[in-house]
Amino acid sequence: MAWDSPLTALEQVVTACADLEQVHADAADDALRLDRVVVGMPLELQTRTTDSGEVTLETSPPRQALPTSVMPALHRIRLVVEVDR
Amino acid sequence: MTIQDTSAPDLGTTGGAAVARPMATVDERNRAWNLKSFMDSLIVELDRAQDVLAVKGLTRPVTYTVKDVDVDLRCFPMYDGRQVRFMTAQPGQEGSSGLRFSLGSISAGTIRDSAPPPPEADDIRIDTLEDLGEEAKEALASVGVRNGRDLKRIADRGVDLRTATGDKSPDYSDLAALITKATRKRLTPRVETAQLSVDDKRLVLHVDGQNLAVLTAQGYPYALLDGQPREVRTAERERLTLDATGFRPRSGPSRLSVALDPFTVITMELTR
Repeated sequence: MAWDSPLTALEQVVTACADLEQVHADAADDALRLDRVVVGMPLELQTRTTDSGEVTLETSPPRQALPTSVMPALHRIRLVVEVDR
Repeated sequence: MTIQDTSAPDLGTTGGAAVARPMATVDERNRAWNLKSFMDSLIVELDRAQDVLAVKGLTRPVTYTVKDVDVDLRCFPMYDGRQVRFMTAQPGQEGSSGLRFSLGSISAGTIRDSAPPPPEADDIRIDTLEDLGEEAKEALASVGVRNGRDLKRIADRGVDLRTATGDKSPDYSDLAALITKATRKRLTPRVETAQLSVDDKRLVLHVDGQNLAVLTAQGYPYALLDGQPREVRTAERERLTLDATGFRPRSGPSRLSVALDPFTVITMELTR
């Protein structure tokens, strides 16, 4: 990924969505807890294809809320996050 | 995975505000990709995320993991007559199709039961065969033949490979010969010593080294000692044992030639 890219690796977006530990930080032992979270969101995504055919993915949550003359192509991602038993 | 042939992507715009017609921006670095490359990259990214979550989970009472992932990708499929490739939609581009990837959790046991075994270190991959054309390689890949083991599995089931590939692939024996040749290229023979010995009251010649007999082919190895055919009594990877009955070392060098397989002949001079 280019050093000046405004996008980030898909790994970081997924990790951020699935890292739910902070929800339980102050919960008592017998409190209800999240068992399953479904995250669905639009996603900016660029593919870079090397000469050897390898593909790298660069992503970001949507960076603009207002319509402009050139809108980003918004893809979608849906993650099902569950307690790791 | 599904491909939806739809029109413009959902840009998330609402309301009645006048919006100028988008102008497409062209990114020179945005190039077409094939499905396997994209999936490889997507899976690597998700695996990394799972690894990070697993590490974080080491110090936490409750941890979460990603069970399922759906990705709806806006892209333009292209077909060049041989394969389908995709170009990711760029800002302002209209008319893209939706490509949906649905990745679910799968256990290691299920993978073992349903997936072909991973290639081993000594497997010869079909796409690395220098003497095989691209069309034949693609035809073989399209019927699931990617390495020597796949080829053997198909051959054992009696599949007519030429028919299955629309006459684009050579037959089994020609392919097997190419794989044998490629195998030999990796396993170069090396002779370290040759010495006379007596085995079961018969004079024998031991030739020791590495990668000597690594392939099985009818009629091989075949040995000539000073021009005379000699029976190969045993042939192993690190030792050949030739019958040397009646052989007498001369003052000058003796010449030993051994065809180890159809592609490999070693010749050496033996001196006292």
